[in-house]
Amino acid sequence: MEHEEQLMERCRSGDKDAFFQLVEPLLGRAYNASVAILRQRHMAEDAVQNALLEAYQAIMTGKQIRNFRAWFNHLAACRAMDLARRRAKQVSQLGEYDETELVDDDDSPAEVLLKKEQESELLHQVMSLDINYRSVIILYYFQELSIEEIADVLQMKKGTVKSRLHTARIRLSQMTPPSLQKKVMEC
Amino acid sequence: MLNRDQEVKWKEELQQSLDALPVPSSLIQFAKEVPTKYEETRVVEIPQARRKKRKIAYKVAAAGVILVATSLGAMRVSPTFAEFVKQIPGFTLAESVIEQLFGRDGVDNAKSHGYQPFEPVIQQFNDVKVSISDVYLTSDRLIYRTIITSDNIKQHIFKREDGVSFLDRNADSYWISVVDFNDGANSAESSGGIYDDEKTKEPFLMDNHSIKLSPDEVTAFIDKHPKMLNFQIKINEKDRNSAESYRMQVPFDSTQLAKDKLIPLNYQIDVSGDPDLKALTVGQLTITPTDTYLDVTTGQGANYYLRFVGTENDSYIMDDKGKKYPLYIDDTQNIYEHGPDVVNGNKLTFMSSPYFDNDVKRLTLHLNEVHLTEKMPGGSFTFKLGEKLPKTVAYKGKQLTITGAYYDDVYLVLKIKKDPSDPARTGIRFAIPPQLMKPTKSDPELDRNGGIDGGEVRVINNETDHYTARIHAPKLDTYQIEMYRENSLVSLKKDIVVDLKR
Repeated sequence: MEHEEQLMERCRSGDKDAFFQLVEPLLGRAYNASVAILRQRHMAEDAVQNALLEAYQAIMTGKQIRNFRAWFNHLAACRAMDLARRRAKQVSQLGEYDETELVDDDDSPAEVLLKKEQESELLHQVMSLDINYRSVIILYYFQELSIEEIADVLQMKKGTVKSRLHTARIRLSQMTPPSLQKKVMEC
Repeated sequence: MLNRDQEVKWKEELQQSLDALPVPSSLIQFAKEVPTKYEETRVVEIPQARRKKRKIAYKVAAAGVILVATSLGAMRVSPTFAEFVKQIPGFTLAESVIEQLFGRDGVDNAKSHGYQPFEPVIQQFNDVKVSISDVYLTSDRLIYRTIITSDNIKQHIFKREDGVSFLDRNADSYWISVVDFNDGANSAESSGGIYDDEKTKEPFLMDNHSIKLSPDEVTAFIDKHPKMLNFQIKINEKDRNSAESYRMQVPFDSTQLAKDKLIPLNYQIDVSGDPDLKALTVGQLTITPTDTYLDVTTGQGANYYLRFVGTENDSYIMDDKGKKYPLYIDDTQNIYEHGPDVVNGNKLTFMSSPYFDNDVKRLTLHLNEVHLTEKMPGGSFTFKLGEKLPKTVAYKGKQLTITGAYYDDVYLVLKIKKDPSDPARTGIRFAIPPQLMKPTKSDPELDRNGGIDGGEVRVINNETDHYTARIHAPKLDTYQIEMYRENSLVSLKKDIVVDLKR
């Protein structure tokens, strides 16, 4: 934490490399969470770019940020959800956001986007959830935000977050393939 | 249902899976350039805290512009571009790769007409090979392409199953800047990626750069009759935790630089039916060898800014031979400055230009629609928790009806029925004045999110006929709620014919 404060102070004193040193360790998690939420890598990159600009401005205008890592994760999640809402609005001007599943546009589908060197059945299952449940799972388990923080990001009540988290767990549990269930049971 | 132990393991696997995803090199590059980008658009006077947030709204839009440009390019690949990519010294690209690249029709067009005032150069620094090519200097912009190969790139590259290559987080980073302008602290936009050389199969890093310059900077530079454009290449070596810096020079003949064609239009477009936008003026059309620019101004002191890119029917230029020049950059001016002396407007960039085509006699500007966003609140109302509902509020000639309200956790929640006569469902931002946003003893958690989006709610068109505004705010007896139009669609549907031969 002290290191974070030193880097923020170096930013304020005009050290242009300091900001990158501050955010570089956080880029991966912020970007990957955004990809998982948005299921579209261009928009995910856009969300993190917006968070980076806002973070730098906050530092330069003297904002007191006690825990930059947690604050930035929260900020990046907010900006990912901003874009999710904007896209949902574009997809259906009349549709209700909460019921509007976001569609991939010119990008590869999530299954292709998120394929990596080793397959993860669990990740595959999470990505098959609709955004209401997927976003809660990603923010809670991957970004490790609190229920209160997720309520802020998603602009909903804490009770709704808890309810969605509960439902998402049940859905994942129900669709977890036998191989993964076995793996989990062995733990 | 998973038990606690299962859940912990489940969380670990999810984190491991997602953490294994690579970060795009373009995002890493963007993160490096954030301080420079911020400096570029910094404004001296920002009178209210709220203005700072408005600036970010602009930044959001600006980032979106880059995406639009990229996606447009991906769809539009010029065959001549493929031929010229092959001529970049030291590198060859497979056709399949070329088809994925941003076409940059304007550069293709200039080169196909033999306009290439800057020589491409390639230079070796130890194992790092750097190429600078496709350099074009206009009256207010410098564009160029860089290609880099190195052992470090080869060692740190990995390819995903979808075929996209990335550098891992331990790869060296490369910074390229132009020394001759602004002491090398240029603010550049860049786009690119990792590709494979068709012949050697070696990976290389290719980026297209665009730097905004002031016309005075360009004139001052040319007046020195330079024969070289100087670049600095800085390599941060992760393994050795050190940085190396090199210089490269690109030869050129400043007397061969083609002058931009300036066409003053000064045409006023009257707009009817909108409560704020009454007219806008199409100013100067600038045709450069690579792109076409248009200045648009709105009323001096106007409390709004416009965005042309990103609407459902983006504007474009069509020449009399049927060639279309799509709008791909919308640089909105003075987006958060406000006052009677502030001139508002947009600098629009259309892809490519008819600069070398003497057969083109006229252009038609198709200005279809814009999004309007207010800089400062366009209206406000007071609201007491517990007051009798429904309550009707007038805004911009529309009736909004508050049908429900309560305070929950750290939010004021309002359910607001939209005006049924507003088919566009005007976007509105609801906000609490910043001075009311200080946390109190009774609201210890008000600042728990670090002030992110405190005091306002972004427009969520989440129900057919209602806004649901969840405003992060302290619990008060009486609230003042400010309203801003946000991304409200305004139809223009205007065609303007420009005679190039007059």
